[in-house]
Formats: sequence, structure tokens, C-alpha cells
Amino acid sequence: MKLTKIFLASLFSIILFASCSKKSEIISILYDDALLKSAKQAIESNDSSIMPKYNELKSYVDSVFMEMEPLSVVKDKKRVAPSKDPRDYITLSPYWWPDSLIEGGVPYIRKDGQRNPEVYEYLERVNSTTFAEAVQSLAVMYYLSKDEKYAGKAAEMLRVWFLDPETGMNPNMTYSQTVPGMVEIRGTGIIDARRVAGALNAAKIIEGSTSWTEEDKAELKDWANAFRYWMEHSVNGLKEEQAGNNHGLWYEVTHEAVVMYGGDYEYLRKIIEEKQLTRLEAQMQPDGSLPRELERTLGLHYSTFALEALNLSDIMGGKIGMNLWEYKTASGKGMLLGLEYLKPFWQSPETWQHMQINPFNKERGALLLYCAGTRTNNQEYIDLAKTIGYYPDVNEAENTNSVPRINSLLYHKVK
Amino acid sequence: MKFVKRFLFVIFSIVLMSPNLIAQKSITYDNARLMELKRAYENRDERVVPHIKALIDFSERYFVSKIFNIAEEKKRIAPSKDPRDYISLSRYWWPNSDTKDGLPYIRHDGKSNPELEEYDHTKITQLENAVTTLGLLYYLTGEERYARRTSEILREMFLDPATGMNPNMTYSQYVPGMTYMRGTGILDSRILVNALNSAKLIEESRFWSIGDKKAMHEWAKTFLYWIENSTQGQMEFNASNNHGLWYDVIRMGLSYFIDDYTHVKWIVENSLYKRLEVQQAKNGSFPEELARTLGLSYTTFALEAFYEAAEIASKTGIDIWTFTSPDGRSISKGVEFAYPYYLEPQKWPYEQISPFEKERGSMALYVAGLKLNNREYINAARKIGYTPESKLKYLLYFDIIKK
Repeated sequence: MKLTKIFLASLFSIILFASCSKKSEIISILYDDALLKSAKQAIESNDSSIMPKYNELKSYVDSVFMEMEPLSVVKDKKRVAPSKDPRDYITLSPYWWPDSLIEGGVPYIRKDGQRNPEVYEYLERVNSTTFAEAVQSLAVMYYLSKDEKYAGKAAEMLRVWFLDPETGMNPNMTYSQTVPGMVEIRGTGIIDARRVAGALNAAKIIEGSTSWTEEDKAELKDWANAFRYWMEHSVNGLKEEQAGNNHGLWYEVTHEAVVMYGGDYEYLRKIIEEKQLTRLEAQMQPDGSLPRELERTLGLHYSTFALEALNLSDIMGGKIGMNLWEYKTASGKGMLLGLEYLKPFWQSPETWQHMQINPFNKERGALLLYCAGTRTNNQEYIDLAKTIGYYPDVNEAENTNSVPRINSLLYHKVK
Repeated sequence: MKFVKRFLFVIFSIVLMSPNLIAQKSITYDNARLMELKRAYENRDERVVPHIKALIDFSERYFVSKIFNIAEEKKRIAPSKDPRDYISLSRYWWPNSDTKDGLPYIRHDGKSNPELEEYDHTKITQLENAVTTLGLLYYLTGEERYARRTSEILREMFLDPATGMNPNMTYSQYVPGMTYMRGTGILDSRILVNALNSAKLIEESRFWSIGDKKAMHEWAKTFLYWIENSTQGQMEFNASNNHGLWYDVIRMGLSYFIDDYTHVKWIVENSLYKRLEVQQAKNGSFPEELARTLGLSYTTFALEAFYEAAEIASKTGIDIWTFTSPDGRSISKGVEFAYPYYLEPQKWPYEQISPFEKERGSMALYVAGLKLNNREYINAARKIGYTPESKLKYLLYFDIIKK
């Protein structure tokens, strides 16, 4: 009997230990954990190369996000979804305008690259971006400083956005990027869900803080699983999954983040291998270009945007032992080929042969070159990244899904 | 090492087996009764054989007719524009004759609007009937063709990417022109829980794969999330009449289906028992139901909710039948109140604008008689009379007719 008890106890602790140690290896979902760790060490040793970046992040977080009233999809809502439920996320598709030839203007017509100011009446668009930026900044500050107040604020904001019975967003994006008057259901709005991925990233980073309880964790996991079900089974989700351009890639990034947050690492590997890498092969030409992005009015932006999605897949895959930068198909297609194609235009965007109706921020290329360089041990890419330089523009967040102040700190060596 | 291995094996089998010491064949039915019915059929008990034979004949139509779903041939589509979103009309709401377009609809309690047929409610009811019949026949006869057809219908109804119902009821019991949200539509999902019974009945068949089972669980889990967290779900949670009771029964059924027994227990103790205390008057009546134009029907409907809750709960080791609140409220109190009116519905002192179905009364008394060990109820049930018909729920209590 005693033996049995001892055995049971040890069995139990082995199981516990195994599960704990596995979890503790992963600090975040969307960041390179090695960079987070080294940033923390550098800050602890007061390394002068990082301190200005750290202080910049800290003062911004202290003055803006610590003081910010929690955001939600119901806050100051002007336009409610056809469901009549204020908790349903609703936004307008940015490039669609009233049709001047029709009385009433509906259905709207598309003007690629030109943002209709009406989109700002749907506050979720801006609020979700700010929210994702806020919780990730707070979470990173918590990780770097171990100051509980940051985790506390992040937890409060996460609860209001996702879990509160009155303000919590319903786990779907049925009404994301709606087009007035359009009858068919589209999947495109799921691209907004990269902010959900960002928020889950923050929730992962504050795990272990006393402010984010086991109950919070369990509730957000339930939310994430319900959202995952919606992504995998709804008409919107099924359509977006099949999108043959950057939308398909971004769908998978969010899907991967949601799956990873739920702890289903085996499935994460499966979707990276069977879905994301298959897309890469289908979307890329032998010269490394992505024709579906070239045809856009912001061709260089969207080509880079597609590679940024794949880079995030690589970061997540890297946490379970995969390396997407090294992946190459029999015909040589892969992220590196895509990088080679874009490399000259990141150096000199003015030589871009396709459309790009707004200025392009070449620092985004520097970041990708740096990631590729470190992941494939290629010094040439790293040097080139440093030549281009990385001083991210704080206003770029809406396009790139990254938080410039955080990236600027994590990638402080690229300059 | 050998010892360790054997020991591990034992632990493993205990872990695997414990929730399922007795094979659980359904969510809402009494498994012992299911076994009785099967035995009676095998022993050619004349009380059941003709009915089951009739069911077998009847069920042939489910093999020849095309399987339908809520997404195709839809007359009314939800405001989401998604044909996979379930939409039904609130039963007692009619066009407003004072407005040009008839909107917003207005309520005539107890009068069903024939427009109901244009929505999805009839469809899911028919689908549920089909899978219930076929699932039961699989259980009774062991013939794989029944399981196969059940699985085909269940997949079309819930899991198919083009036709499967989305796991929410946002547009259930919709009222045209109404500008606020209501939770009442969640009541329709009783039908879905009943359909899930069949997924359990065919679990051992080779036509219900591990993948099907997993997909069905995920569907139910997501639906449960919607029920417990959506705005409508929270509204229905707060309903102070039979809707609140059924809300609990539905989430108990879904929790049981996904093997979350802890949650079943939590719902019973933290919600259902409280509702009993709040909704039942000292004399055992349910005043909110007495206020309806079909008072006896709704009183019975409230009791039926407790019966079903008790059935689900008993499978997780909780006995609701013997529960009495500190101030004396209980299921048996409720039966006691309704008992004389089941015997003589014409003496019902409240409103009942359509005739009360006496078989619902005898059924309620018979089940209560068995569960509470009360001879008087059993005799009364037999006196009122009862035909098992082709309905599974009635068939299960075939021995209401004496041999």
C-alpha cells in the first residue's frame, strides 16, 4: 500500500513536472523568445545599447497604456451589427465606397488602396489595434521588469475585451469588414483577427503573474477554442482559409496563434506543414514573386506583408523545433526565394516596377532580412539589414501587426 | 519494472473506465429503460412489438428520401446572410395589422403563426425525429444500416462544411421588426440535445468514426460556450419561468455529452436548485406557468424540465428526485400539485385555451411513480390511459400497460 502511494505520488509529480517544464519553455507566442531573454539580460546589466529603447517603451507604457481606460467592442459604439448584439465585432471594409451611380450608394464599390473615412465610425477597427498594442506592450514590460503592475493592467484590459459578460467580444468575426449592400459572405474580415493573435500573445506572456489567475486563463482558453471553431467551420473562415493571397497566409498565422494558445502543439505543427507551407508553394512564382500581391496598388507593401506573415509562422514553428526559413520545395520555392526577390527593392524602393501608390517603409525589409539571417546563419543578410537600418515608424503598426516600440527593442541590434 | 507496468496499466484502465462503468447510451433517456425496451423487443413482448414494427416500416422513408438540411432551399435567411445560421419565428407572434408592413410583429399568446413553417424549426424537428428513430432502431436491432443513415444525417445536419448548422442560435425565435435582443430562442435547442442522443446511441457503430465523435464534441462544446456566454444566453439564464429551467437542462445535456460531469454537477447545485426555490410556490405550483393561457400544459412543461434534468444528473451520480430545498420545494411537490388535474383536466382553475394532452399527464405520473416509488401515481397513470405510439419517449415506458 505504501509502495503504491509512493509510486502514485512520484507518477503524479512526473506528470506535473513534465507538463510544467514544457510550458515554461515558451514565453510568448509571436515573439522570438531568445530575443526576449537576451533583451531582459541586457536590461538587467544596464547595457547601453538597449537602455534607450527600454526607457522609450517604459515611458510610453507608463504614460499611455497604464493610464488607459480598458477598451472593448461595445465602447462608444456607433454602428451595431445586424445581429443587434453590441458584443459582435463589426468593421467596414476599408477600400469600399458608396456607388455614386446608384441612389443610396449601395452596394458599395471597390477602390483599392483608398481608405473610406467611414471606416472610422466603426470604432473596433482602431480600438482593437490599440488594444493589441497596449496589452502586448504591458505584457513585455511585465516580462522585462517583473513589475506586477504591468501584468495587472494587461489582465484588466484582457478581461474587459474578451471575458466580461457585458463588454466581452463574441468569439467570431462574422461582421468584420462588412460591405454595405453586399449579399455574399466574404472571408476577408478575418484579417482583422491578427489583433486577437496579438492579444493572446500578451496573455501568454503574463501567465504566471498573480494578476492573471487560473480562472482567467481557463476562460480565455475557452474563448480561444470557440474562436478557433468559428475560424475552422464558419463560411467566413472556410473562405478565408482558401484565399490565394496574403489573406490565406494571415488566416493561418492567426489560426496558428489560437491553436498554440490552446496548447495544441501537435496540431500547430500539422497546420504549418500542411497548410501554410503548401500555400507558400502555391502562391509563389519560380522567381520568388507573389503575383497576387504584385497586382495590388500597394504591391511592395503587400509582398512584404505576405512575407511578414510567414515570418510569424516561423517564429511560432521555431518554438516547436521547426525552421520555415530553411524550408525549400523541390523547385526551390521558399521564404528565402521570396526574400531574394524583394531584397533589392527594400534597398531601393524607388526601383520597384509594379504599383505602390503610397510610400513604402523599407525598415520592414530590414527586420525580415535580420530574421532570415539569424535563422539561416547568413551574415550577409544581417549586414544588409544593418545597412538599411531599423528605426520603425510608430505609425506603421496598423499595417504590419507588430508593435514598433517592442520590435525596436527586441531588434535593437539591427541599426 | 514488471510491477510498474502492471500498476500503470491498472491506473490507466481505472482512469479510462471510471466515467463509464455502465455503458451510457444516451444523454436524456433512462438507460435502464432502454435496456428493458430492448429486452421486451427480443422477448417479443406484444406491448412493444407492433410499435417497433411500425417504426421500422415508417423509418424506411428516411432511407429513400433525400437528406435535407437547414442551409439549402431556405425561404427565410438570417440577417447575417449566412444560410447556415439557424433562424426560426417566435411561435406566438403575428404581423401587426395597424402598420402598413406589419412590423413589428405583435404577440398573441397560445396562437401559433403558420409562417413558422417557412423557417428552420420544422426542419430541425424532422431531422431530430429521423435520427432519434434510426438511432433507436440501431440500438434495438443492431443493424448497421440504421447507424449508417443516422450518421449521414447527423453529419449533414451539424458537421458538413456547406450545410452544417453554425453552433449558435442567435436568430432563433426571431421576431420581425423587433429591435431588441431576446434569449427565448434558446429553448429550440432542446431539439438539438435530443438529436445528440442519437450520436451516443450509434457510438459503437463503425459508421460513427472517432473523427465524427470528436467533431461532434467540438460542435457541442462551441455551442455550449455560446449558450453560456452570449448575450442571449445570459438573458435566458435570467428567465424566471420554464425557459430558465430548460436553459439549465440544455447546458447540462451538452456538458454531459462532452463528458464534463463536473460542470453538470455545478449547474445543478448552483443554478437548477435555486430556480426550484424561486419558481415553485409553497403548494408546488409554478405561478409563472399558471399565468399562461395554456397553464396546465406549461406547468407540465416545467415538470418535464426537472424530469430531464434528473435523468441527466443521475448519470453523474446526482439524485434530483429526492432533493428538497430547506423550505420544502421539490419535484414531488410539483407532481402533487398537478396530480388531480391530470386525472380531471376539466377542473383546472386557470386558463387552458386548447385541450390538455392527457397522455402527457399519465406519462408524468407514471415516471414520477417509478422514480418516487409511488403506487398511487402508477395506478392513476394506468387509469388515465396511454398509447405508447411511435415516440421513443413514450415507448420507453411501455409497461404502463399491464401485461
